[in-house]
Amino acid sequence: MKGLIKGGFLYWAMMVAALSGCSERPVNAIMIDKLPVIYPDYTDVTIPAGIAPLNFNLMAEGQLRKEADAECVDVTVKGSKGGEIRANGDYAKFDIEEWHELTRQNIGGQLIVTVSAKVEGGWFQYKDFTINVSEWPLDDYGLTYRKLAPGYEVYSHIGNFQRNIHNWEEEAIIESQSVPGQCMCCHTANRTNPKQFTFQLRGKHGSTLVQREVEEGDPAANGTANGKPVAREWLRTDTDSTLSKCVYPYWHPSGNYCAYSLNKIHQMFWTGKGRLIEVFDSASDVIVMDVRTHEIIRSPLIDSTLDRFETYPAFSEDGRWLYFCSSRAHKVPVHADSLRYDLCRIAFDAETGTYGDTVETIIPATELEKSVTFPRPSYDGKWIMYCWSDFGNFPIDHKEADLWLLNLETGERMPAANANSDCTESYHNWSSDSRWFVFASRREDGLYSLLYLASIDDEGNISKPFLLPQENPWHFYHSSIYSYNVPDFTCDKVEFDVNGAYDEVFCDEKQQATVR
Amino acid sequence: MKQKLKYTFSLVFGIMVFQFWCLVHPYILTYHEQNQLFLFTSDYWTQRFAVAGGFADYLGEFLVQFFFYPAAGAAIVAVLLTSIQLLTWALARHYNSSYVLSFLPALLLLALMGDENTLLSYPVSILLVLLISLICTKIGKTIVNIVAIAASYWLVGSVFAIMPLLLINGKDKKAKGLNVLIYAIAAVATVYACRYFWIPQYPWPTVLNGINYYRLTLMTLEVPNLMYVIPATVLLAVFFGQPLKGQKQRLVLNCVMAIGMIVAAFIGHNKFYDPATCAILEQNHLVRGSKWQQIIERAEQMKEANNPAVGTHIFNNGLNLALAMTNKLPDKMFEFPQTGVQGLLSPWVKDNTTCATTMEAFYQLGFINESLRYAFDLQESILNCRKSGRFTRRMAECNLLNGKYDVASKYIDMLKHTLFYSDWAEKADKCLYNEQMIASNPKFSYLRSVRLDEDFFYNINEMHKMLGKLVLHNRSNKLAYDYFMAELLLMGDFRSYVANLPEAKRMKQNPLPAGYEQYYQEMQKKAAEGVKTDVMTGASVLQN
Repeated sequence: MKGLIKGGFLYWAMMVAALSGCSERPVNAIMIDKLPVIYPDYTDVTIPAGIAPLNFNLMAEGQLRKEADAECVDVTVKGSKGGEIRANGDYAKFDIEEWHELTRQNIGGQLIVTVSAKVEGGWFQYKDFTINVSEWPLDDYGLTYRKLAPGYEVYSHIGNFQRNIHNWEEEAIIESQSVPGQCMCCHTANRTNPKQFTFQLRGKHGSTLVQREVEEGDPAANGTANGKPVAREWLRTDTDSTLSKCVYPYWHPSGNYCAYSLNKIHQMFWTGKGRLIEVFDSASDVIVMDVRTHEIIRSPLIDSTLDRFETYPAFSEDGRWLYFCSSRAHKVPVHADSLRYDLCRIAFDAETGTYGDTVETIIPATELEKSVTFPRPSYDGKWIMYCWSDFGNFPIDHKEADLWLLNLETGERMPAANANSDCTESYHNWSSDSRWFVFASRREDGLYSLLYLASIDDEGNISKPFLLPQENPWHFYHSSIYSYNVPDFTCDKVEFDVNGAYDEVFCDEKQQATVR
Repeated sequence: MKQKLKYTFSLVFGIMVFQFWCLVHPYILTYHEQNQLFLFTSDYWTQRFAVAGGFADYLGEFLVQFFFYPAAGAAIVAVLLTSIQLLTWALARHYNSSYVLSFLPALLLLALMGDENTLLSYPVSILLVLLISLICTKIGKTIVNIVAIAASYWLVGSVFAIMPLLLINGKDKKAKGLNVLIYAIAAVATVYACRYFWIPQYPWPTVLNGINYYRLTLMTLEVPNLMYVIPATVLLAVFFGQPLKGQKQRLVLNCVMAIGMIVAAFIGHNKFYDPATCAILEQNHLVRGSKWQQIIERAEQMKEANNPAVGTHIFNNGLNLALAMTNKLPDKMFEFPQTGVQGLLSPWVKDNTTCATTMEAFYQLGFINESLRYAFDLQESILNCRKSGRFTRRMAECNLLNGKYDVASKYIDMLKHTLFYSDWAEKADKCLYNEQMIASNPKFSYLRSVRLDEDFFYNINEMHKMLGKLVLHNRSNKLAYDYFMAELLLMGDFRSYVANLPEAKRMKQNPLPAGYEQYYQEMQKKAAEGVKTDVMTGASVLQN
């Protein structure tokens, strides 16, 4: 009964407090010679104009992961090129329109943030901090990602989502309840273009969805998206002669092909107190599928290679090269920690749908006792960003995993210094103009992957990344039980009619991919 | 029948329902509580209310949190079912129908609730439909009824489908027919519009069967047949309860119906309350409450009664843990039929209950990462995607022990928004980032001392080696030693068993437990007789 009264009282007290808020302005504030402890850490980050407001919470000093016991928080943001906005309440919550206007007014300039807090009846003002507004715009609509609890063998709720990065709108593309019992892999668009995308379902009715916009009158058209005809096809991609169903995809710039890895995936669990999970392949290949004919195009150099595992395909920006990660085959799980992947490439001719006859090793990571995974070429042809870890092909659970850059013009390799932390950095993808990138990092708490955005200049200098803004960030992220997987930019909103998904997936009349 | 007498019968029914749940099946109540985590937050309310039937679901989960205490849960179920009976009767009176038949929906709900996956939101939805219908029939306005039908779909979900019939009133038969048609159109339009605009992610079978009535629906899309039958019996009780006109004939019919229902309830008990499932849930309840002595006594009774649950892996998981926790494993283990090493620690089984006992055993042994994994996966195996107070707490504990305070704080702060875990969460909060507080907590400091620091791959097939590592890591970990020796006995690894016997003395087990001694002597005897003892398990030696 005591708990009931206490719990009920707290709940309603919180509800009343949330409704009342505060609206006082700082009076006779005492200056404090230190920066405020805020969540997320937005001090000195670089943002694009028009991004969703960088709302933040004032956190308690010296006491980790607790909000400050302030009666009121007052925040003023002044632009170095003019303009000023203010937020006042339990946390810094800015008006979206005002924020957009201020950031656009200060492109190439700075926002100076003044934080004051009322504690025990008196006001205190912290040292100002700055937020840089980049000269590079970020005009893409938003991000796509998969959300699921960072578990082991079982998931309950899972879904592919899209988020408008200019405000707070998040929308499900497809969630697990739409296709019960099927595991859902990540949505992958062609270079941020939502007119062409693919994702996999695994399970009894598992299949690969390929949706692409087609011309009027195209016989493959069987639906519409954004008023344009689309071919929406659920494919069976396992064949008698290939290793598995399609797993990790990457589109050819032409939109006519999609490369996939074929993996036999396993996982083991760590006993002790450090690591939790190790995911590895016992075999893997890379193939390319002609999405128009559903033909699987194979090469003996990257498919059915018994002595090597190939995975994580990615086409170069011009589509002439197919990058992938390749490791010498090892007996697993006994030698799972010996699996180390080099970055390799093979030529690909989109006209004929044929491969080159040699495999080049671009980054011989094995020689350095390291492993390269998730290569993502920038769409301007300058960089490949990749994941760099001690071993294996699934760095999400590797604390040491960092992002690195390969300069395709000079061949120079360097860590994506500002983007990295002591925790895992993993999935990453480029914005449509390749001036921004998004990546998943576990720096927050070591387990839950959250999304960060950063910009890159011509020399490869990376700005301090900022956590994907949320309306009430501490409340949102601290109470969230989801990890964000495989984020990608989408230049426009993804149109996917989920209404028919259940019938299409469960009807089992799917098109069969064939081997050319 | 006089009104007072009728209320007395309803009261007696309520008391019987209370006793049934409190004394016969309390563990089903705690199972429900284990499979949800009701939070006093606005987000939680918003999430629930975002789907059709979410209000009833929220209300159901609010009530289920009290199932933490089975007596409170039994009282809630009793009040709920009695209210349903009384509301059915209140509606039936409008049509001068039978009082006795008004018990039928409540009795069938009692039967349905024997399926541990039936969520309380279903009876709550029935209750709300009856309540709204009763209010609407009192108001008697067509427009009010239409609004009530549309709103009810979002409040209670698909059981609102009986409302078009429940809401007809008045004496004009033509108007009745027209009203039913109007209400039915309103109902169909409401469902279609809601599905199209607000819940497109749910396939039609889920929408029509009810999103939150049954724990498995999101996965299987199906609900038990009784969930279709019960709304029909409400209509039956309301409209067709009094086919006979003579008072004597009515009395006879009522008596026959009453006797029929009582007999059916007794006969139907075992059909609707599956003994095997009940045995598992009861053990789950006892393990959760660390009622070790009760588990052993129950096992002895079940063994004497030749209960088929005895000798299953899951039964032995609980029994062996209880024996080990009470220092009786070496002596009493083979008094019960053993099922091999899986009866000690179960490999992962993909459901939300089977491995809960092994999760507990891992935790007590010091396999913190394993306990964390099982807790996480048990929680993720709750098929209506709910979280669990029990498992979230365990995840918080494991992360505290592993020093992963940032993750632990997420779970602890979540539990602070609950009724029955908040006290624990407030205490655990003091341990965050505070090594001294952890050290001063006897359980935490002990588990930290026995937990393995070295990272290596978990392998259930080599559990004896993992247990051996635990023993070597901290030789005061008697539980690990008992499990280790039990593994060797169950594997029939006599050589390793003999080699590790001296460890018992080092652990100050003096004299040697009789169970260890007995096995050793029996094996020596057999060896002297020339019997090949290489692969003779403890079971084969001691249970013959």
